[in-house]
Amino acid sequence: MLAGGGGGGGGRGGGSGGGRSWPSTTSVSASGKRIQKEMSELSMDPPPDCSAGPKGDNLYHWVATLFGPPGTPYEGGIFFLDITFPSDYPFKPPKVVFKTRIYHCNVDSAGNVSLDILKDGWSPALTISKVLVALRSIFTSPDAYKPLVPGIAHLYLADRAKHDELAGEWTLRFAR
Amino acid sequence: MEDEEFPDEFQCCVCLDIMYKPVVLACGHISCFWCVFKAMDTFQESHCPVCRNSYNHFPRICKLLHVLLLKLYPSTYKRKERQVAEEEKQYGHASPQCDGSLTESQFGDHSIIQENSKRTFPGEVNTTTIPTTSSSHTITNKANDVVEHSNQALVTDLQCAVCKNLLCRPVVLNCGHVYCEACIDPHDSVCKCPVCQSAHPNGFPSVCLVLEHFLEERFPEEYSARKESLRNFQSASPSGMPQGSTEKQEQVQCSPVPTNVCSTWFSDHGAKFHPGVGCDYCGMCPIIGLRYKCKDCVEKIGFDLCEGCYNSSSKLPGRFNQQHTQEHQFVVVRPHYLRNVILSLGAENLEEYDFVATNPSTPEEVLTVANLSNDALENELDSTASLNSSDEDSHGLEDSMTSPNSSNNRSEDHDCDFAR
Repeated sequence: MLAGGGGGGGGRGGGSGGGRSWPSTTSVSASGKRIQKEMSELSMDPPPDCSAGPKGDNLYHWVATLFGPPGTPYEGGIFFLDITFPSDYPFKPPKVVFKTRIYHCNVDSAGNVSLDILKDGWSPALTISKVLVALRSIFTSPDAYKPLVPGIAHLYLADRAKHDELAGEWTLRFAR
Repeated sequence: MEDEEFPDEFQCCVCLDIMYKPVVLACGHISCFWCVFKAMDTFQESHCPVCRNSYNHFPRICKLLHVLLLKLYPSTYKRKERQVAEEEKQYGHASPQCDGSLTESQFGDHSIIQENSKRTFPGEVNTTTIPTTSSSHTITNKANDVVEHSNQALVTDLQCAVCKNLLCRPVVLNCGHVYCEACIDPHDSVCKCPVCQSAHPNGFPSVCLVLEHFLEERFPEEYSARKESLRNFQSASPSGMPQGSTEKQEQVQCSPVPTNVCSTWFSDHGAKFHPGVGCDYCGMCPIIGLRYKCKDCVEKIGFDLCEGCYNSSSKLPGRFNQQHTQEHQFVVVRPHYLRNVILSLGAENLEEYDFVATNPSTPEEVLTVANLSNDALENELDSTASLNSSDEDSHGLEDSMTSPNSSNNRSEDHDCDFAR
């Protein structure tokens, strides 16, 4: 037999599925069905402080919003995200990009997020709802030891008050 | 036809639909046949989508669960069956056929064993299971009768082939057969299936909690009685039964691949594997060591065996309905050490490589990858030397992989053809 997938749980080319669309065994209908299921589950039981849904007619292109959790410098901000599903979803992770600028050590200026479960840590059992919960958790506890923007991570570790002040300013400026 | 509601525990975590042709991994988690197949890693051992437990064998379909789901939720299951059949038509691979009654399916070719044992133990089945069912339902109205009737039918489906009782702490082996945890006796450091004699790789499997939960809910009295009797039996003869601590020990002992393979897998097996190729008997994927490729199977997915299965006398059907027969001849394919090293090092940087080597919709290409000769390897070396420098090089590399017609013929000389 010849095996198919790759990148199951923590596979080596986990993140490579995003941008380009190779023909694959996962028929578009199979990934489409799964995305539709997630959509209906999200509408029935949405995770706290966020929402997500298709941008237009394209089922593979979603927009999500995250509300800055209270008690963090991101409180009061509304953050928009673009979610792109690869054609072999859920065997490859979705691509998540912040559209709203944010002062956060795990999100770079282009909006790319460094989140383990969106790369090597992806598992086909994860859903967008779980990804949103994970994204929400990096608001409350940034991972300064695996930063995408080392400068912010450094400030976060060295001078938390200054970091929070700057993050609050950015939230006011870009996310309201 | 209206879909029946099915509980969340029977939802496949990958397709979020009812589990179709369920496969139970060694960690006890269940997923659909195709979902497991598509989620498998082709370069190294795979990980359970739920718990990330690593495994390197693709288990066979658990027919017991298949029949159970078909009986419990017939219209939902049939609807999913139609969907999957359509998808299978699209990508031209078939999943194994399994229909009919449990006696046919759970025990396959070995129905004789089942029939024999059924003849010898019919009394036991009746005394242990059915009276408890009837005594528990003293109110006899019509609805209850129906439930009771279907429960009785289910009870016979949910028997352990060894003890002929209701399954207790069910474990599912690599071959897809289900037994009570206590009925599997790992001797000679390997658990063997009592029915089909195939070995279960990597130690003792975990209890399938979904199935156990179902048994507990559906047959509360019988199940607790079974647990109780098992406990008594174990305390009466503590030496024979696998209990907590001893079981843990066995798990370590009978594991041919250490449990911490995750990090050490590559260093242990190095490049002695065949990316993207699995064994059709034991399910090992990727095949480590020699690969025996059938020359005569015409199916796109091919038919391959690992060395161990080639040398064993088992005559199991292929995993994808291949029409493989004993007359077919095999070719030995040796793993290409160098290529695999390059592949695994370059995989991160080179999507083209990823594509050619892992994409199953183009299995011809995968085959040519496997058939690359040393000549092609040299080309690869040249091109990988400057892998990151320019796009052009990687395209050249792709070319060298997709059109090795000249090298292909030469590789036939390296492979030693022989008849089985």
